[in-house]
This record gives sequence, structure tokens and C-alpha cells, in this order.
Amino acid sequence: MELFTGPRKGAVADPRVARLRMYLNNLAVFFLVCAMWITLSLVTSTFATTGNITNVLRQSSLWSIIAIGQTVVLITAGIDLSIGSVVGLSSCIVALMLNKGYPISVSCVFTCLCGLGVGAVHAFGITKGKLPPFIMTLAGLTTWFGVGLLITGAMPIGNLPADFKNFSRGDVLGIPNLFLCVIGVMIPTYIILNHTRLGNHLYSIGSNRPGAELNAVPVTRTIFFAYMYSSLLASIVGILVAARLSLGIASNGFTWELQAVASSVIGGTSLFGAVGGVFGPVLGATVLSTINNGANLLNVQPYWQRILTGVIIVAVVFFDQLKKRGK
Amino acid sequence: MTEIVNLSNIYKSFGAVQALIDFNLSINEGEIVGLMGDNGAGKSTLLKILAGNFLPTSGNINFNGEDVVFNNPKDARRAGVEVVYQDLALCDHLTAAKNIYLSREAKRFGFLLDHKKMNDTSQKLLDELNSSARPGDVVTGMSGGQRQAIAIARTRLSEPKIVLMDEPTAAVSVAQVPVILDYIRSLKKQNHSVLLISHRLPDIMEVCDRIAVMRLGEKVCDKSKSDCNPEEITGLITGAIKSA
Repeated sequence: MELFTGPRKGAVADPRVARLRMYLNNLAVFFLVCAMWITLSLVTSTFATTGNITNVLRQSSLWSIIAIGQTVVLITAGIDLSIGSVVGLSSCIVALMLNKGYPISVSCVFTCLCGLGVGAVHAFGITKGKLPPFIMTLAGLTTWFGVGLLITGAMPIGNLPADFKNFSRGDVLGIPNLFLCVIGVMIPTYIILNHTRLGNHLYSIGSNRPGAELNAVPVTRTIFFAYMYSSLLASIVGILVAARLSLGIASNGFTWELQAVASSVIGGTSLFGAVGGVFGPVLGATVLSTINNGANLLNVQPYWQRILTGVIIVAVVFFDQLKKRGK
Repeated sequence: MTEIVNLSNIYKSFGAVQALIDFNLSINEGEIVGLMGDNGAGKSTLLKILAGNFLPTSGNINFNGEDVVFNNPKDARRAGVEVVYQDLALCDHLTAAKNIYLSREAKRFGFLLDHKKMNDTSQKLLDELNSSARPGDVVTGMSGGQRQAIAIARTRLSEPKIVLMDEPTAAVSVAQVPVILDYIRSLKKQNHSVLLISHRLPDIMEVCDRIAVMRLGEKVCDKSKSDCNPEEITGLITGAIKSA
């Protein structure tokens, strides 16, 4: 006698279907990117030039990295609104240190440690202080921006060493260094999310946090990881931005937390937790940077870029919900 | 007979609410104890104290001959307590195998998940429970019985001293109830103890060796099944009979 059976509510139980849906979503976003690129190549003479494409990839690289960090937090059903400010603060810290004559390696490592510290503060407030992630990181958004203004006296910090600046413009075998950084972030994140206990715990917390607690999942430690990882990636982007613009200034990365959320959501991450991967956010970031670049080339007022981004987010999430309802 | 659990004078309050008042209970090796009581009697609080979710406000837990403090579920699990929670505590987005192995995932090379081992073992455990749930399937969309099977399969990953079950037959179909009761009996045969919380008197009468009844945080009855009759138990649960 077969027991413990029961009606299967459709085929959703099969993870291959869930995975296929994720691939399809990524594929749809990929085709969106292709369509935009083809259209822009046809209607502008400047889009399909090596210099411009490299530029788009550089911008999307920066957003991809913070979007991957945001995704890790979103998987736990949290959110990190402080990313933009942490990018700005990190660009200030690294620029100040380089200005004071510290070696590039020391400056970068110290900046990353500051990023980890920032993430730990957020996680502490969320786990020990029981503050909602939205509030804690919203406080972080304004606090870290303030700290950045304070330590620089609201002045841009320039005069950075040539080796530092060259990194963001350099390439290896034609692949921009910034894009290599994205790959350098994607690989470990992919392994963590899909092939480690930590990854399983991140998804379990996003799926059912009380249940995860009952099953002895180290919830506090896992949430610390998520926010520290997100802030670490934001500070890496802060360093890269400082190198790219040859400038450390607190307003670097201003509102980029929204780009990170948008990239992640366009890439199929759920704001309700437990759904997301590493390829989606990279594709999402490419969509956003293409819109940005295309709008500039078409001489569209920059305000329209923001409106268009909003429309795309609503459209993507709307179609995602339709898919979930099985229509 | 070896005593596995001995709770003495367990008191637990949440603010002004007294959930457990001077609660005493002992459970022997291989014994099935049924715990009954109305909603709010303190059954789940007691289970959560034994499972390491709550610390008692005062009182002593002796486990397998040693005084213990379970600060968290991990402590309890390490000591040999396995739990099937009322809501099953499943993560819908994870596969059955990842749910079964949650927080004790099989690893290879020290840090990578051993997907194959987790799937193979889960398949074996689910087969033993005659479940049609597949280890690689995510839990969303599974039936109540399949979900229950996954929660029960968790308890078979280790060799527990005691299995705590909170309403394991409440959310499953009529046909599945005997399978769960058989499973509880098989635990006894392997000399594991069971604390079974249930509202279903027939289930309790069928499998338990001893029946304890709680009312408003206090134990009002604790005796061998052969000394109990259903009317008395019902009276104790509702408060019509004060104690026995």
C-alpha cells in the first residue's frame, strides 16, 4: 500500500521546472538586452563602437557586483538600502588613504575591512536589535553618506596614483578588468549559493525563518554573512568607482542601492526571499546600463532614464507574477 | 528501566502568563508517553523547552542521567532529541532532501554540499515511510502527507534517544494515520522513546504506554494507559474532573 501520497498540485514540485523558469526569465532578460543593443546599433551611429560597448560593460560591471550583493540579502528576505552610501564612503576611504601615501594594496584591504564592519553593524541591528532590515539599512543609507561627507569635508579627493586609476581602464586579452571583477564575484557567489551549507541556510531563512530556527540553522550568523557580503561588495565597487573616476567623493554611488534592487528584481530575484541566483542580477544590471547609455546617445533627457527604469521594473515584476499564477 | 528524560519542577512564564507550573514528567527508554490537554494547556511550550527553543524560567531537566541546559535546538539535537513540529517547520523553496538535511547537510571536501548523498539517503528514508515524495522536488506543492513524511524523515537521520511529535496526525488524511502510528511503534521497537502530543484520543489510546494530561500549565494526570478510560481523560482535559 502506498501511503504518504497525495494529490500533486501541478508540476511545481519539480525543481527542474523551477530552474527552467529561472532560465526562461534570464533568457527573456537576455533577449531584452539583445533587442535593445540591436535597436540602438541601428538608430545610433555611436552605440556599436568598441569604446561605447566597453563603457556600457564597465557601468554594468559596477552595478552587477552590487546587485549580486543585494541578491544575497534579498534571498534571506531582507533588503540592503545602504549600498549606494557604502559605495560612496568606500571611495572616500580609499582615496584618502592613497592621498596620504599608503600603498594601493593596504588602502584597498582596509577599505574592504571597513565594508565588512559596516555590514556587521547592519546585521547586528537586524539580529540583536530586532530592527527590520528596511529601517536598519535605511538608517545606514543616511549615516554612511554622512560619514563620507564628514571625513572628506564634503570635498572630492583626487590626485590618485596612476596605477590605481589605470586598473579600471585596463583589460586582460581585451576583457575589461572591471568585467573580470564581476566574474571574480560571480564564481564564489555561485558556489556559496548552490553548493555550500551557508547557501542552503540563506535560502532556508528566506523561505521560512522560524522553521529554520527550529531546525538549528545558525540564523544570526547567516544573516551577518549576508549583510557583510553585500557591504563588502559595495566597498569593492567603491574602490573601482574611485579608480574609474579618479575621485573619491561621498556622492559616488548615490541611489545605487535602487539600481541594485532593480537589477536583482529584473534578474528574477524575489523580494519575498528564497528565490534568486547570480546570473539574473548581472543581466539586470546590463539592462539598466544599456538604458542609461542608450538614453544618453539618443539625447533623451536624463529624467526619462529614471522613468523608463521604473516602467521596466514594474513590467518585469508584473510578468513574473503572471508566470507564477500560471497564466 | 533506564530513565531518558526527567523534568522536575519546570516553571515557565511569558510575562504575566504562566505557561507551565511546577511541571514534573519522566519518560523511560522505549516508552511512548501521550500528552494531552486543551489549547493553551502548555503542551507545545513543554515540547519547545525539551527541543531547546525555550529555556525554562526555573526547574531542572535531566536527560539520559545528566542535568542539562538546552540553550538552542542544536544542543537538544546533539543530546539526542528529534522533533516533528506541528507546523512541520519545512522550507517550501528547498527540495525535500535539503529540508531533511537542513542544518546538518552532508559535505564533501569539507565545505561543498554532497547532493548525491543527501538525495540517496533521503530517497531511502522516504521509501521506508512509503512516501511518494521525491528527494529532488521542492516542498511547495506537496501534499500534507508528503510534507509530514519529510518532517518525520528528519528524525531518522540520527539515532535519537527521544522523538517529540506535536500533532503528527492532525494534518494528514485518514489513510495516513495508521502509517504514522506504525512508525511510532517502530520507534519503540528500536528502543527510542516518544513524547506524542495529540488531540486525538483514539491515537493516544492506540499507541501510548502512559498518558499525561495538562490543564492550564499543570499536570493533572499521569498514569499507565491500562488505568485510564477515555471518559476520564476527556473530563480531565475539559476540567470537568480536577485531577486523577
